[in-house]
Amino acid sequence: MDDIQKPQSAYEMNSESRAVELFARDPEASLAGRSLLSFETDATLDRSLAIANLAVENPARFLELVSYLPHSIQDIFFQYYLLGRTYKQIARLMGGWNGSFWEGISLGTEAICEILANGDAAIASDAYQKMLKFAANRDHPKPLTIKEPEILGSFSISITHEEFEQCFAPMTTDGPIGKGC
Amino acid sequence: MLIQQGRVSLLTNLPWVAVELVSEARIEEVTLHISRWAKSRLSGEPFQLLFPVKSKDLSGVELISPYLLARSRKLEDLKGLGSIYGVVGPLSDAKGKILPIEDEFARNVKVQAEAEAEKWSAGIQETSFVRILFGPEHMLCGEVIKIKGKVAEVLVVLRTRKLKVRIPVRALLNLGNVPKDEREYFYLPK
Repeated sequence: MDDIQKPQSAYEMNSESRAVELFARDPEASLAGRSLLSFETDATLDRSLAIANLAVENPARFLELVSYLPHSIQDIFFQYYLLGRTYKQIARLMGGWNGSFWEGISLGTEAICEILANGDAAIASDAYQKMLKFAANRDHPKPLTIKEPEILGSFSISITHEEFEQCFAPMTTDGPIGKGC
Repeated sequence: MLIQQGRVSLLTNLPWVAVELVSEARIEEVTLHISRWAKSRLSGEPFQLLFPVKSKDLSGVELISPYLLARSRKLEDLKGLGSIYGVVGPLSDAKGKILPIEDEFARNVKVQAEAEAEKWSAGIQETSFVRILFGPEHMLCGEVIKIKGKVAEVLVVLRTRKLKVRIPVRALLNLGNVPKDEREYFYLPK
């Protein structure tokens, strides 16, 4: 069973290409492992930061670019970048995605880069096709009904109330679009 | 928001302390950390924390006063607040002695905070366009499709799914007269 080759995730592909690139640039340094070498720790390669900045500085352009992506990827981008909602909160609504939101954002970001570089021709690109494959069959035809505790929005709250902590929903590190934190 | 534990009647007329925060970012998370601290460290001792929110939206939380206000029977017990991430500590003089805040001042801030909280959801009725301010669905926008007593049912239309969220009306922000064609779940105020 171990011999079966699983398809690589976007994370694995990024990490692999990063390792090859670092080795080509400086073999000795890359093998010595003196510093963190992961894809995520190199700010120059972090394109998601550019997307976050775009959402804050030019929301209209952000909305336009995201509108070219599949609906399921749009839902992640809007909730994460515009509303400052965490992956856990997004997963609660979209179900079964917990570990893969980062991948969705990564693939969506690559697809946006292709669109910016090549316009309509981006649809034929590997990045765009990978994203389409990832986003396929993610629609939920049935509405989801959620009942929130009556304590929400109360002015006076007891710390010992069992639902007390639900009154404080965490935000992502960037926060919502207007927060600038 | 007034967060409390224990027999708070024992705190009547006692002074408060001003709790200085490190920054304006993540005020809500810091308030939760302070509450957890009080629950674990003060072991049921009467405690009150006034989190005086003026407004809350995508632009963040704006406070009525620059500080949170807290009190317990012994103000010295609150020195430990400085150990919480995001909290500078209780406001004190150069020698580290806590500066008490009169109860009357805190009462005024509380009255203002209550009035502001009432305003967020004022005027909400069926068909109103609202933003959810509290809970795991926070920041999502939708249309009120039903109100029963103090609970609203909000229809949130994501791209891939519809949600019906039953939530107290006071946990909603009335977004006013947003035209129908601009009503998106990620609505951005202009």
